[in-house]
Amino acid sequence: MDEPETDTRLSVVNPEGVAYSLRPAGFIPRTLAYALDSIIIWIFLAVILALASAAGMDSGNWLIFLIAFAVNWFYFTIWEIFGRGATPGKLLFGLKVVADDGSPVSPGASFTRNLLRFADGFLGLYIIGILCSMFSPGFRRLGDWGASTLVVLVRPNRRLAGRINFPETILPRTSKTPLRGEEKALVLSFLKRCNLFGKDRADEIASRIVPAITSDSKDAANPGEYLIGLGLGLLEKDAGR
Amino acid sequence: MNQGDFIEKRRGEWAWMEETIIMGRRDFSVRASKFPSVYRRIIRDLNIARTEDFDPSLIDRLDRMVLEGHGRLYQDRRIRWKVIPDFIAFGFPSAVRREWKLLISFTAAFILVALLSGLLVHKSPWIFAQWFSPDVALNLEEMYDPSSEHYLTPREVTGDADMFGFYIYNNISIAFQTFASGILLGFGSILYLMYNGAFLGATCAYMISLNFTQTFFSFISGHGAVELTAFIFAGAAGWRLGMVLIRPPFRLSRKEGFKVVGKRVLPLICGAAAFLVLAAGIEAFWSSRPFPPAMKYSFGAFMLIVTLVYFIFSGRNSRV
Repeated sequence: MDEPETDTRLSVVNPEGVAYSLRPAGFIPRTLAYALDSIIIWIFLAVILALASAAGMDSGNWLIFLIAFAVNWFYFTIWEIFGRGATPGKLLFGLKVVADDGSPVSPGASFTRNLLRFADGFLGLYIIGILCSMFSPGFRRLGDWGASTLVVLVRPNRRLAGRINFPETILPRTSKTPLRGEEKALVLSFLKRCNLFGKDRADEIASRIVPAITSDSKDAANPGEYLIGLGLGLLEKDAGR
Repeated sequence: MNQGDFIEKRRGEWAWMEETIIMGRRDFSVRASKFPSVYRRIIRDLNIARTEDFDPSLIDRLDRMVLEGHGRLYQDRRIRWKVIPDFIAFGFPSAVRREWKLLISFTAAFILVALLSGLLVHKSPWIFAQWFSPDVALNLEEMYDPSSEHYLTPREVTGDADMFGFYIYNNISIAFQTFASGILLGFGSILYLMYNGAFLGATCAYMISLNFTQTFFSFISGHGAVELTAFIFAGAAGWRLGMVLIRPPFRLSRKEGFKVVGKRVLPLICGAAAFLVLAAGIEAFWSSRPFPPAMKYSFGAFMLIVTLVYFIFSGRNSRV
């Protein structure tokens, strides 16, 4: 979509014609997820080797070669195909691989992006992958480019979903002039965040908003409380009581 | 519409949706018939919530439901085994034919580099150990010396099955690396391929200079055609992908270019991997056997012809 975004979300239009947003994951959660997956791989291979040496290594080398090969190249792919786009590491850090239109990643794309992992790590420490993802929208490493995939965050944003907790002395009120949708959203998001600000900061921010939505100087005298009151009013009205 | 009424009215189906999208396959199948209609109503809810400027957290919640629901609705995780014979009979050879110019130029370049390095080593065999390492030279000498205990088996392994595992591990890893490094503007693939070409040429010349001609060529003739085509395919596929960064095909954007080219090169790299499994089988269970050289050479020639016939003729008539 063309509308400018103030955050890192990508907007995607699905076949039903509705746009929804994907939240591409930056390299810190992805690095953590990768570290966890690497640890799992090491432990797995160590266990296999220990079992093999316990069983006597005379004739089982081919199996170890095959397992090492499969784990090296297919660990991520197999998890991504059969684990709904997430390896154990990605699952723990709330990440998921999707196609760049938000649909589930296809086996072929998952295979490609994980083969290209080698190119992202070509100079060691995933330097190429990290640089590439820093400079591309959607934080895509080379493998994501080659396979047309994205790694997205699947957990909801906790701050936005948080509960509203307001001073009880403020009474709900309504605006004399009806508010437009945008203004309503502004008031509601102010209400949601006012606890984070503290009173002085809340007044300072509100003093910039209030003159735009009311001409009454009485309301503007105590802008923070006025906005909170308006927000509560909106909530009450919207609750349909 | 006001937000409170809206939430009250739609709450039930949202809860249903949020429960359904995380369900396992079996539970999901019970609800599958109802799923699409609920999903479409939730899309409508999201549009309503957006146009009415409802609470951001509500829009967020619906947005997530649509995203996850989209995933459930369009996912297809059935494994269709028919894909494999289709790929062998049609997909792989036609993908190869589609890229025939690129593949022939890569083969030509590969052979040229091999000949060049072969000529150099033929003139002065001592440079082989200098180019690669004395260790590699020693390894090869042992492997193709009929009187050595490592005759026709790499030093790392013992036994045919072990060799099979080793060749798969080693060769397919190299092919995958050749492919993957191609995305670095094509350079990686070229380097890998040229290095392998130089190594092959140099090894041939070195073996001739040591008078292991018979044992060496009868060993590599069986799997040579299959293995080398696979490496060349992997390199060419990587190069194609890398070229998208420099000049995307069909005047597409890079993003779209990758989408198109990614689909085109995927059969090449998958086919290369399959070919390398086949080559590893031949190398471990046929090439290492002490059959008479004439038999090995005729098998090698036969494999070369089969490979060529396969790529030229297979799957031509099934093009839809």
